[in-house]
Amino acid sequence: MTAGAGATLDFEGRPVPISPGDTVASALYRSGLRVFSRSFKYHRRRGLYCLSGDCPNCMVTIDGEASVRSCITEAKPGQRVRREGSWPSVDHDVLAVIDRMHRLVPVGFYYKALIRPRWAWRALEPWVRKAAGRGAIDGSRAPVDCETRHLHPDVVVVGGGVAGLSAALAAAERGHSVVLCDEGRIGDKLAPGETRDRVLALAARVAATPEITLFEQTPAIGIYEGPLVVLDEPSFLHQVHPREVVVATGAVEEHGVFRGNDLPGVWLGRGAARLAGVHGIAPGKRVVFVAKTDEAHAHVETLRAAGAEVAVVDDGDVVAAKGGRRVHSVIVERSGREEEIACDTLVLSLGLAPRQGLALQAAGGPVATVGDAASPGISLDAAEEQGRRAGAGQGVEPAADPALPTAPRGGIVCICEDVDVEELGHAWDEGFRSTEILKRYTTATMGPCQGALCHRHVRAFVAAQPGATGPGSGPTTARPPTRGLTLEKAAAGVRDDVQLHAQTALDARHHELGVTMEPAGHWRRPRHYGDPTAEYWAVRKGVSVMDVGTLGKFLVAGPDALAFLEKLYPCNVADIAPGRIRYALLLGEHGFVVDDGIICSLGDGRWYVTFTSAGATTVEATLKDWAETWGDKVHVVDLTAGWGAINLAGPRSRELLRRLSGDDLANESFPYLHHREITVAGVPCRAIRLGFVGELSYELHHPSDRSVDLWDALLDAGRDLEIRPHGLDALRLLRLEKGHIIVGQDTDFDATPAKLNMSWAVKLDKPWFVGKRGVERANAHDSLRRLVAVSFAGHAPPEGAPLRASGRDVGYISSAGWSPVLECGVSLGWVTRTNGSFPTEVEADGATGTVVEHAFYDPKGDRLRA
Amino acid sequence: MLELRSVSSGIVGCYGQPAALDQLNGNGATALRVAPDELLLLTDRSRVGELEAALGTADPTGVVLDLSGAFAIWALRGDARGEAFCRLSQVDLPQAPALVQGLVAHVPAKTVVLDDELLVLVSSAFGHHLRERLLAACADLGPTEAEPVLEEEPALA
Repeated sequence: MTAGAGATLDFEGRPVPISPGDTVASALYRSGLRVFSRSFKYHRRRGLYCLSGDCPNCMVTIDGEASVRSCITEAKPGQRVRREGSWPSVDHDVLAVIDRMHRLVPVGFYYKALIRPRWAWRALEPWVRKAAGRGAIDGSRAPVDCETRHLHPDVVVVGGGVAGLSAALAAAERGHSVVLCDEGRIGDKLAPGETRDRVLALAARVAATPEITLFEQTPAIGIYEGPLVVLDEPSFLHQVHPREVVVATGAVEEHGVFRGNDLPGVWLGRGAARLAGVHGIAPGKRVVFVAKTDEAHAHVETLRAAGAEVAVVDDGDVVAAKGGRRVHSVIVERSGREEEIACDTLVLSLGLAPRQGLALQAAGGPVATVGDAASPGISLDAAEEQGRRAGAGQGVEPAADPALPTAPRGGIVCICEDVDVEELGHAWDEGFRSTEILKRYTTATMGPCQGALCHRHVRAFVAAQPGATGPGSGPTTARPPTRGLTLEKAAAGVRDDVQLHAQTALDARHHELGVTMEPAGHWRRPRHYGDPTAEYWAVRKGVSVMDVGTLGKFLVAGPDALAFLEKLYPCNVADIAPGRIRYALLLGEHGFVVDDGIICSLGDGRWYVTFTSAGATTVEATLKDWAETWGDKVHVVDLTAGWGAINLAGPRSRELLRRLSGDDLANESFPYLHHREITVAGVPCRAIRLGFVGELSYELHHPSDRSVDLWDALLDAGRDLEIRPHGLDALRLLRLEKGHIIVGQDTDFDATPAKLNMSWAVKLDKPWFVGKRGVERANAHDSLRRLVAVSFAGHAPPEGAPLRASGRDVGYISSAGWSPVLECGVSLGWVTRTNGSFPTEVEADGATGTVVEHAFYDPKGDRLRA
Repeated sequence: MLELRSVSSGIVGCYGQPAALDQLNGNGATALRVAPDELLLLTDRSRVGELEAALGTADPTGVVLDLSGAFAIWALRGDARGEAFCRLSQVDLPQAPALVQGLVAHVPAKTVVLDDELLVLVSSAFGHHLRERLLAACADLGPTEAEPVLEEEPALA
């Protein structure tokens, strides 16, 4: 919506008329507003200053979005505009008292003044944070999802001035696709004159060039390695991947540093001329114009045309500006004499400084910097020629670093962070003697303008200090973002990572059964279906199914497959006969357990191996990394998604399976720790006899697009057996009764097999395997900690509860639960050796537990082998 | 216009020496050479035996597997398919016909670029995620969902 006759925006509850072409700032200024904000720390009054999107003075909250630069934001009917960073209001800010206590709160005071007593910082930090800063995030706003767009042009041109437009046109002429962006509308920031005329003429040609995609009101916020140029367009966060970048971000006017330099009514020349020339508003009635540039006199004429009375100073320097709510006079030094001139506005045209944040970020990449961004004050013809050369791929000579301004003697250096010359001096005296550390200590250059206005003054300050060395006054590191962006934009696309979760083919079936899910690795897995106790008993007494399609599943084949697996696993692989399986640990190089699973020998040089669900995502990379490292000719095929798996468990599982399969399932021909291909309800399966839950079980691995058929068939056929699915709650208890570990829950970062009492899974007589040296080193010493099984007469203490023995803390519980079948508490926990031995009794949460050396349930494993 | 539809296609994975896999390309199926030693064929799963025999003659240790359940395939059709794709992936789409690999909606994907459609293959575990993200990210493009189809053999040269 654009402004029409009678259109208004809402400024702090009152309507403010807006005219066609207005920005929010110009509309407010026309309505009489002069104080737009309060400064970051000292709450000094701030008025419009640069009107180019660089300084922080015009920042307001618009429609709930904090810290929006009103000088480059188009005014729209109905906008809600509020000033920020004050209490109770910008016009009557009680917090301005901080400015009077200036000497009590110098830079870094909170590093030193609030150290003791120790509670001081905690108590005062919220107040310090409230007193400093800008607008607050509106927590009541509904979050807005922001999407990214990825573009792949040949060339990106940042900046729609003469140099940038010329570069875009030249690139298009050689057949390149071009993305051209500008943070405003092309030509908007320019006062009427030759520059504006030239820009608008070039812009018309750009509009007629289909190879150029133009994004207006779209600042580039960073250039990353790649190169990757990130553009903050209103609708999207664009991630642009060009082959070449042209930075034509122009120049910012030299910031004037003198006493009173931040009073409302002090302006930079281009900004004042823009207000007058573009919006038809004189910044003041009685203007003192300090003219040190060629373009200054054109600005003076623009101001006069808008009705201002202008006194030009082109032979002196400003020493100070005086005033309260706004400037009322200026002290000018001419030939060693000071003169006070009454005025209501001071305009400074002191020179130009490159707006080089993006160029510095991109240093070393395929980036050309042209126009004022490289050579401030360059002529229009030269800028156009530079742009054309860059766009044509002819290369542009890097410009020399422009001379620094005169070292500041007084006044605010960093208007974003409220850092004055005196504070820089204190920091220097404290030993912060280079621009890099001065920046970090004082936060000068770290505000919204990212040093565009003050960076060179800080460097000039350092260079002028006695004993300063050359490198100490060099430029500081430039980092994205060069322009502020909302957190919503910063998070664009990232939610994919946050919300991403994998589903098995049975996901819909689980939900039909009323499942409660929980995360496991990148999966969502069934935790229970409403009655975990009934699910538990179904496994212990009848028959149950569980979706274990989340397990990591891989086929390993190829000429070097056996050699590969022998190096990978700490157990023997060669002696696993076809049709047999073996439990296996996966160790890291230091000998610590990182995962576990099984190895099925398929014969013909092929093995089928599984890993935990949580480890499934990372183990593929581990396997392939090792294969590449060793140069083995091996195929590692990830079947995790391609093959589903359903664990059919319980004493009646064979009975059920026989109803659906004609294969020989007799215990003698298909015993425990064996696998074979069978067909179940018409679905080809690899059935694996395992016992993680401690009962007769068949893991049925099958093509995942047949999972639903198999699941439905098992539940249908087992209805009279009162079959029901079980989830992770039941599974964790079932395996705990058997003393089986869950890697990650019962293992620590330094859990060796010995500490887990699993040395039986490691064959140290093998020549080599991943982690062998680590295991040998660990085994050379008696381990200080080990995992033990602990039974409690009553309920076991909760997981994580500390374990104590002989009055000392000795460890903690990693898994715990109440065993319905044993009617006691069962747990696994880590204990520490004390007085040369591990405790046999422990206490936790007031309960006494006994360490047991065997599985709680069916210690001989008879039920597994039934 | 943006049309989204699920494609049910048999997928057979072939793993072997590169030279041996080269010989399988001409068997009439759409071939996606995703790695020197890995070839995916969009073809009927019943051809596993035939392909295994063919590969076995050139590479006795080669492997042929039915991977039909391993992938979810989404076809994007319509003028806005490129716009939809660029919102979810930083992969630069080449001219058709082509195969490119890279993340789509943060999920590893293989994208087949055809004259009139894009086929995006992701792990079947993330098929739902790709659909949801496409519909959310492209809501302003007015996406429509077409009935799933059984894909015969897309014409990738």
